Amino acid sequence: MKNSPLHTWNKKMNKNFYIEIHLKKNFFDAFGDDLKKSIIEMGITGINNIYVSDIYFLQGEISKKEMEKIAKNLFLDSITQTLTIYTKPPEVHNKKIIEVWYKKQVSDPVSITALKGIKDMGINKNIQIRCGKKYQIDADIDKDITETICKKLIANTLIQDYRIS
Amino acid sequence: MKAKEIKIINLADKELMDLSKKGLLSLNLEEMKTIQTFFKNLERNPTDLEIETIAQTWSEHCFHKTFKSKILYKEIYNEDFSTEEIPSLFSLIKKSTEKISKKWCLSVFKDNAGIIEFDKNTAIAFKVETHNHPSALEPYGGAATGIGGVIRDILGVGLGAKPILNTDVFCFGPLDISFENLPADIFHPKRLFRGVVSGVRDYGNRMGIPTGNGAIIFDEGYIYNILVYCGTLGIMPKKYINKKVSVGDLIILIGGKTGKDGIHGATFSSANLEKNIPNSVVQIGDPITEKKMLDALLIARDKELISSITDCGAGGLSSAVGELAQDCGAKIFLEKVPLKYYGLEPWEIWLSESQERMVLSANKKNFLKLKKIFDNENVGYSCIGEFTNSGKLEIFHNKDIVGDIDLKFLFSGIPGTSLRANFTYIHQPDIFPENINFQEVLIQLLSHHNIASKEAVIRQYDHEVQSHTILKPLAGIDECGPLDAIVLRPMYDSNKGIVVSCGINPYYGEIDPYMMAGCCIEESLRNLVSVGGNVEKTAFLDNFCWGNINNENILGTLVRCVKGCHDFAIKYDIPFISGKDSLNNYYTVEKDTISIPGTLLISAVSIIEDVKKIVSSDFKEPDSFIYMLGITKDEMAGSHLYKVLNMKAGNVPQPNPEITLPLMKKIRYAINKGIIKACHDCSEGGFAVALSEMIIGGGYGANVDIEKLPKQTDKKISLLFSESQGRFIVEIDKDNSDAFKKIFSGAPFYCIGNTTPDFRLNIFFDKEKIIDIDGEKIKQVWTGALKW
Repeated sequence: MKNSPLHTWNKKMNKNFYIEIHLKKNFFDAFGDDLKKSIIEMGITGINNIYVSDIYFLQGEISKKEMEKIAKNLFLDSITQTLTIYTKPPEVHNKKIIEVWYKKQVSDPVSITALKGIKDMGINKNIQIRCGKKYQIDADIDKDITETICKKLIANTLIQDYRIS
Repeated sequence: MKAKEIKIINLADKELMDLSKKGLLSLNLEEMKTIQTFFKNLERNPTDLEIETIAQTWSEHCFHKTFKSKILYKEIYNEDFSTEEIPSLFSLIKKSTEKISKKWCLSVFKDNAGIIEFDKNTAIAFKVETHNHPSALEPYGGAATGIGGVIRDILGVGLGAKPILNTDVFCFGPLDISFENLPADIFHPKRLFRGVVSGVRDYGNRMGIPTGNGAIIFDEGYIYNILVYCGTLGIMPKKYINKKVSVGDLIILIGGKTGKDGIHGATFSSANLEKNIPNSVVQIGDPITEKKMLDALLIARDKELISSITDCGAGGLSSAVGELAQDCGAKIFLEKVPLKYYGLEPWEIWLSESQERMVLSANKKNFLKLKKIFDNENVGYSCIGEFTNSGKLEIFHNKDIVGDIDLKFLFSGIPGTSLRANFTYIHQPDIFPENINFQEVLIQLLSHHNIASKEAVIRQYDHEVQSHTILKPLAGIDECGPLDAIVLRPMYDSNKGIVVSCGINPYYGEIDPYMMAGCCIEESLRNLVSVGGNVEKTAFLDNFCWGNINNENILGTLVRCVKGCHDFAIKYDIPFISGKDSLNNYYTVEKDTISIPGTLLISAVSIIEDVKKIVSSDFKEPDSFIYMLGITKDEMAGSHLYKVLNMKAGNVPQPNPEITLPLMKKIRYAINKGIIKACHDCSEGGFAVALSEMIIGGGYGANVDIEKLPKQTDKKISLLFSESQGRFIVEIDKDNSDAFKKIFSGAPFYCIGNTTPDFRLNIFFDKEKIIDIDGEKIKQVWTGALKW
């Protein structure tokens, strides 16, 4: 968990939420498909499907009800997307899961805008947000290849950290 | 936090250089010694903030040392040997503008952008910047902040102009290069390509500014260092083109907050790309913040509440405040700068290059009114100091003085340098490939990524927002034909228009940068003339991206290119109004350096009286005459044909202003009279490619005989693929043939065939059919080659 803000889970503030926003099943995942094509262009085989979702890690004095309100009104496009709120660090499934987060010292306009949005919703509390991307790679590939994919295609280690589950 | 004292007054030469290197100051020994002497005379050491400020101000990026240096230039051209002392490259370019002296040039080479007159009350400002190093390290963020930066240049020209168009020109390595051939620290061209395009797209689209003109070049020379040129065109009332700071005016910082972002951006971009780069040099753009700032600034300008404005670009506050205070002085209180987070040292606040910030000056009595505007538009602001008449920058942090810099030393203390440069022209004999299958070669050219349709990129950009785009990047029957230039109608109550185009071709420069300058100038002109632009009211921007200019031979190619810009600008009678250079684009492998090909981008902007009198390049009807204007010669060096065949031989195309300039004026006249129905210039790939593009756009075929081209060669290969300058293909109604001939009498032209209802390209040489391709095939190859 070193390369992820999740290592501060429960350490800093009293409430932690991990929110995942993913496309509904019947919508075409353009980002996933694009990445799949790029991986194949690298000469890597055995890729079935890739699903890309947005992830948010929130820490602060907010209730679960408030969290739901924020997620539904601010993060979610309810026509094309669905949402999962985790109150514990999400468990790892069978697939290769890669999370990419901006490094702490890099400005993340999406987080800043989200904080502003929360304030505009009337929730005036001390909250911290980190935004990231989650890639679920349904593939028969080993750890080294996954690392290569991360470095060459997914994350820019100059400004981002990635974590392979 | 207090400023640290940097002990330099007693350092020996080697220690001075160590300090410069370790502190990422990018200053040379002579400069370090000048600083040392200056502080010795003051009998004190500088603070960290002071030395950083000097390093930023004197960096290649901010001060353009190379362009301002005296150069001893040696040139060997065939048998001729000449030496010359050039006062400075910058003065050479400026001299051409002074000589051309157009009264409609309102502000040249002094503000954040060049300004020309649009109509009685309105002016337009144009600027193109580069953001190469950051884009190579983080393509998405680097390109986005590149376009964000040039938009702020337009917001910060005069008292502010409204951005109405973005342009983008990129150079990448070939997309099909294998991963194994790349060093581990270099991104694959495809990743860079996608990242850069996405960055420009997201920033421009979110700001609500159309992105409508550009070019993309793919070449091995750009594998290690990509080039990202971003331009913005703005419109403003003429009365706001000047700015003036008055003593006592407040210094107001507006826009985003300040963090550690971009520290050392200016000094970093002046050095070559090395390993172990701090991540603070790249940033992620925030277009929404910039958009809010744009809206607020234009309101403040129209209420005449501000006296001066400039953007916080390279060097951050140090360069923005320094520039504005240059002729007076300023007191700054750094604790008043809104920060993203706690823990910044004073020098970091002063030097930070956090994006989306601008500095403006305003009379104290206007502050409350400004405050109201900024609050209404939800824009962050803070009054951080005021202008004084001390001739100094006095910088405080929580009552401690952290910097006290003499402005005269800061801006004129830099030691003048004298450089040496050599250029040798190597003549290449004419060699022509034999047994060429013209048809196959044409297909190969049409699918070459430099020539093929850029629709995959263009369609991602919003080129319609603000709804003043009259001629778009693509048009024709399926909206997929390429157009030469974009035409805007910026005022809803007038038909006056703006035409924007560009010219870039590094291949000619590999042989002769002088001719490259001429050809780029001419290409940008041909592009705008093809749609109906007016060469008599056109202005240029120059953007030089060069390799390791510490190498005298590489500097020599730059000098020769600048000489070309000077000479051809005068010959075509077109002034340069602004420009920028990005030098030291090279990569170090062990002890070798790999430089980019010297690359010149010429961007042209022209004012036309009536946007209704323009044409596009697609053929409009079957059974029209096709005329060729301009002479075809054996000029194959640097051509895309030779690129495809991997050949180096022959002469580079030579522009011929004596013939072409009158021709361009005639074309404009004929377009205005409605005689020309379609017009397209011949550039990359020559005649055959240009004709194919006109077919793709129109959905009609063409039957032509290249034996009839006005020419100085009989070689079929030259007639089809030579990239001779000054050539246009035009479509004329048969009934207008006589009128056309009358207009063009005295110019080189000939009727070479006609358009056909059958969607097919037939090219004859006298009676021999040398090319016969189905139009659908041409279209499919050209539109399908460059995939996202």
